[in-house]
Amino acid sequence: MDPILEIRDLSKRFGGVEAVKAVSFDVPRGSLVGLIGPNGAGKTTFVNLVSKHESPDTGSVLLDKRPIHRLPSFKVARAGLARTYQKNRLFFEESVSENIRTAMIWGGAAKHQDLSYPGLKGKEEERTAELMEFFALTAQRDALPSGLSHLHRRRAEVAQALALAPKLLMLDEPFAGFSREEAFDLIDHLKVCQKGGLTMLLIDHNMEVMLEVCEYLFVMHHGALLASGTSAEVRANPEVINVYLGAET
Amino acid sequence: MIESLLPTRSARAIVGWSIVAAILVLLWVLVDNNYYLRLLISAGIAMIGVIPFGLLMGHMGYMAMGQGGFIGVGAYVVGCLTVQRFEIDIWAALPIAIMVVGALAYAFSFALFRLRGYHFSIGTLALGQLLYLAFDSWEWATGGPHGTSGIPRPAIGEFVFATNSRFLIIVSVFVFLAGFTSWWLARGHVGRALNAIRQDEDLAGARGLDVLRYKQLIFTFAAVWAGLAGGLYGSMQISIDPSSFTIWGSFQYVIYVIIGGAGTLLGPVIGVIFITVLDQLIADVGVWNQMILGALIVITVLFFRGGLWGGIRMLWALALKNRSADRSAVSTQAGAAE
Repeated sequence: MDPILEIRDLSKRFGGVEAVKAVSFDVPRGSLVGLIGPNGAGKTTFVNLVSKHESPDTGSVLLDKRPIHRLPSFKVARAGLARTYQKNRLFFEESVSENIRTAMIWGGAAKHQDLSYPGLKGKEEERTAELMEFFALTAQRDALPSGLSHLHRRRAEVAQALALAPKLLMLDEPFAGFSREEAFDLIDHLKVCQKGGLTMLLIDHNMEVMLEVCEYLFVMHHGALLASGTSAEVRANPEVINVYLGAET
Repeated sequence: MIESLLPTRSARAIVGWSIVAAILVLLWVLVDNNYYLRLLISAGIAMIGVIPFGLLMGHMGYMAMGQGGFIGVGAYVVGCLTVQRFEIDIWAALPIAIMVVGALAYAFSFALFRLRGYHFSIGTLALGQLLYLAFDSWEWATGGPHGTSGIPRPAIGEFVFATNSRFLIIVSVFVFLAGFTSWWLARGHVGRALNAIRQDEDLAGARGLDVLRYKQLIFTFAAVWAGLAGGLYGSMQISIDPSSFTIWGSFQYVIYVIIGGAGTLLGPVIGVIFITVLDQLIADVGVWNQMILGALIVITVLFFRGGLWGGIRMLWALALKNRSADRSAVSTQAGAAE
């Protein structure tokens, strides 16, 4: 396995609460892996630590063999790790196209020659237009985020993250508020990007979708890594059944 | 209508700032009363400090409450270099004052920008108070509570800017420069970055923006102009003491921005003009003076979030809308008559 992301003993404590406890795992290059766990399992804190929205107390994070755990968040983004948020976040005073273009400018020009998903080639305007077309946002190009539907806002956020031309995209609860059809519509778009070389780490508690979509899953509980494996292995894991699926009885 | 006459933002900004400069020149020509000239100079000096401060507070959303301290450092460095300890020319003292204030602001920015929101405001308030205590107690450089006297007015060769009308020329030039540099920063990628930081700085960082660098840049930029305003204030007053650089001075900057309109460059200018005129109108009402000002701030914050400038723009837009509605009604009636 050629890992693009290597997490080693990542820990974070907030006062008396140990939000993330010595989590270690690898994400294979080009894969679509999932991180699941019940509410309060520490998933979002974990994402915040990897993307450097929070600094870990201990542990290390390597992106493409390069340590990123001591870098500020903007350098992590420029190194090729983009993320989206549990609660949709866009610049609310900027139009959809400005939101995408701005990230493109700050993230730097597309620099990863081995990638080939939409929005990587050409000038900023062409890349922005291509990303908007890919996510069916062209009609909303001048709209403010407040004027968009939840579906379009989520698509715009993913397009903005992809504008950084990342090697790895972490999506925090991307399917929240989505119907099954809408969730799979977004997955179809993400799979196109995966074919173009993008690695993705999905964080969600929509078990049904996650087990169906992800090639490999990690399960967190009380801040620690409880289990990992393919969907079949996770489904069959008694510990996971006990703490997450609640099907023990 | 303005948009059709002046289609680009740059054109509108150039015309706007030219109008401000023209008004200053007109006042310079028309006003020959020394009292009013000093008022104009004071207002001009406040504008020099508050226009760049508007970028920090309005565009970037960081309400610093220690600008009075930076004004004081500028004034005291000029005072120390020209009379208190050395006797160098004020034209040399002013750039040194700017550099000292810039270095000080940059050094403190590392600690201050570990804070956000009202924590940042309290941090800057503490810095302003710390500097005030330094002015009051570091007698070697500042003269302590008695202050520094005899700060000279600038001169070019034999031409001394000794009279108020002459000094107003220098102040007007710096008002224009403060406005121009602030506009230049606000219009390009820096302006975009500042707006993004105000909207969501975590997201800006996650999208590759070096947030700390922009915050430090604007904090230092605003402090440098406050330092220059302080140097000019010292030269205008000839004599300075710590009572001019209290927390109240810092609050005034915040009030100018809130009353005038945050997030625009012209808003703080309008704030300064409004407060200066209001101060004159209610100068004789004693303690009510502060109460009226307080009530105005509350009303502005509650009902005019965009300040006076925002209110003017809103009324202008409303008037245009009504006019176009009237026109379309007239054309509909004419069409029906035909």
